[in-house]
Amino acid sequence: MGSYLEIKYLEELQQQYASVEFDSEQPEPHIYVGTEDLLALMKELQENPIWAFDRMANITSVDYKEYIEMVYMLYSRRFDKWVTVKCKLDREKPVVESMTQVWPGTEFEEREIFDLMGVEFLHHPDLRRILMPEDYTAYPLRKDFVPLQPKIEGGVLKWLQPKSLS
Amino acid sequence: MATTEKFVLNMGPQHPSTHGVLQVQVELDGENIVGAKPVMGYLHRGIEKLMESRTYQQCVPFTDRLDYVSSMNNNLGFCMAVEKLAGIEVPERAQYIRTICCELNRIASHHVFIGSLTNDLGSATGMIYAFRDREKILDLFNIICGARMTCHYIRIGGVIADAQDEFLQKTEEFINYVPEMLDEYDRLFTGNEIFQKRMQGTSIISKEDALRFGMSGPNIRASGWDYDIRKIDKYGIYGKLDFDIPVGKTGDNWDRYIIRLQEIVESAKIIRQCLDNMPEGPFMAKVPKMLKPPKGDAYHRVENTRGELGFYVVSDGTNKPYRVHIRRPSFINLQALDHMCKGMVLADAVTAFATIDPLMGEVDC
Amino acid sequence: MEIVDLVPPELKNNVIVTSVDALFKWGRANSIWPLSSGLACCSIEMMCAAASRFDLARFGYEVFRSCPRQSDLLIVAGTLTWKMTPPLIRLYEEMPNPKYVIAMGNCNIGGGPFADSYSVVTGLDQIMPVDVYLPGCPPRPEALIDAMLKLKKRIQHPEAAAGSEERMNMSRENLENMIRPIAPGKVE
Repeated sequence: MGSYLEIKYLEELQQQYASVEFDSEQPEPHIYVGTEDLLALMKELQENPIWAFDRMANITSVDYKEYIEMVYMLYSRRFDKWVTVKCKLDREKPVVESMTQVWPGTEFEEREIFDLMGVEFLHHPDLRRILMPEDYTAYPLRKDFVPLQPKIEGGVLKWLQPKSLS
Repeated sequence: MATTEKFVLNMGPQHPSTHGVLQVQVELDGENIVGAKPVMGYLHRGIEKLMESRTYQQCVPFTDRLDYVSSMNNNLGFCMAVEKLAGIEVPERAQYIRTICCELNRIASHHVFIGSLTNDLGSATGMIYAFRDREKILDLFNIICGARMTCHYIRIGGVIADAQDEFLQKTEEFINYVPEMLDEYDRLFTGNEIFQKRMQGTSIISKEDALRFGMSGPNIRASGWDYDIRKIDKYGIYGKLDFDIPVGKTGDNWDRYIIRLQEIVESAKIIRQCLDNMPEGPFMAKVPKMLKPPKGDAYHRVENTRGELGFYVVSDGTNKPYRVHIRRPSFINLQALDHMCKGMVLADAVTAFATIDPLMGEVDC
Repeated sequence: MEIVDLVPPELKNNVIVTSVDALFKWGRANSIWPLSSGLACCSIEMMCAAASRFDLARFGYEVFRSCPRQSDLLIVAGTLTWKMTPPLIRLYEEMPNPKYVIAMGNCNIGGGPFADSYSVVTGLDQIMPVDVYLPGCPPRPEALIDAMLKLKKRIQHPEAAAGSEERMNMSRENLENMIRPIAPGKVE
């Protein structure tokens, strides 16, 4: 694998954006940023020719029980460098800016995160469910997910809330 | 006065072209395509959620069933991600055996591509010939691990059994047969004028568009980028091997077909180098039965037959992963389907589905 | 009572006497037309069974039709998810009688490795009546040929499948309940 972005560049980014934090003890520190600075930071990472992160290698979301965390892994083809950006979202109403404004190739992955985790993406061109059926109402990858009961009536698939176990 | 209006044709989950359960809603204006929207999820089995309730060793068979035609590459990706997280060092003989198996699987998967492409274009002979040659590779897998398709041979720490002499000798016989096999395909299809007219100049993806859609694998190499994870990351022993990356010029269907044929030649070269330089030694590292990696996360990517396959594993210190995310190349490559089909005729849409080579187990996960 | 031979001795080699039932069963069993409806990994093994090494053609079963109206065997090869069930029921209902179903692979017998998933149907017999169950993950092409030969035996000698009527009637009732149109004004 290529190398990680150097600490001096991370410190530059920390001075530019107020909510950037990273743990300088670790050899490859991940950047934690707040939702308000996320889009500006991503545009800077893509456009600035010093590092030129032109490829979003991986975009995913993890449900830690108090918050939902978005993980973005960026790769620069020219310099063979990686950087990981993480953003913590509120679990009740997770809303974040869509990365299709910077890298258009993240459209399907963001739809999948909306479908399975329930994160809403602002300014996404076509935000709807992609893997589960359109009328599914729960979010499977959350830790408190209870599966819905399927029922076919009149040849059409419907999902019912499970009966409570009490 | 007579008017025309657009018509939505549903190429539904069950259709004659053999690509699994992919539904495409094609918007037609006469015979020309105006838009093509893929609808996925008919094979969504919830593998990412199921992996959270299995131990790390129990998760490996699930990766077999993602891209079920080239299962060794998927196993390799997951095992390397967990080895990176847990700090396990794989012995060298195991790495050579892993490379031989992955490249053999790449050749087998390209045979399925050739078979289904020629079947879609109307020649059932292509399917018969491609599957006949694929059976030779499946016999090799039968010798080494007992299964034909979903092998579950590459495990965390190495491989489950040593490569026997019979396997190595029969692999060498197969590599000697590869030029003759490709010569037959060249005479049947590559030199066929009808085949060339249908494939050249259709469904062009330009260099900028391929990068914009985030594509990877032979699809992006057909458009002109020499982007191959084996040469960039040099994981395993790929840094010591000598092979070329075939790159296309225009990004049309013809380039995507020719590049895969050339990749078979390159894979045969890699296998020959591995067979010549295989060291002796153990085939599995010492891995505890209850594998508990330290807290943290790790990401590793490998070059699957269809592109850049990445595994993101988060561990919380127990013997089951907290979260596994799979970055699937076919899923992201399908974003280009709409762009590929615009302006083409309906018959070219079938060729476009075949050359972009999606595999629904991987698209839906 | 005397047993009279209906066929005179000079024509014995040219005339066969049988019942209409046995004749139709012989025709149906030796020329089954499968529907090409592969869903997942097992479909690749189905394609291998139809290819040249394991050759389904020598049994008469090579004509894979893409349209359900022209076929009489539905081989469900691969994991069945709930999203895919309405299209599959529609395919099954479009096939004309008599029709047969082979459940290929562990996923269709009881869910297979994905039995505890939130979107997988745990067994094909919750959806439609099944004639032959074929275990394996995936089953080898020789196993698929064995399943089709067992189906042939079942068509020609229905008394061999004596114990399975109860299960098949239950599945048929399930299917009827699923496709019955909802009465207007019914509150759910």
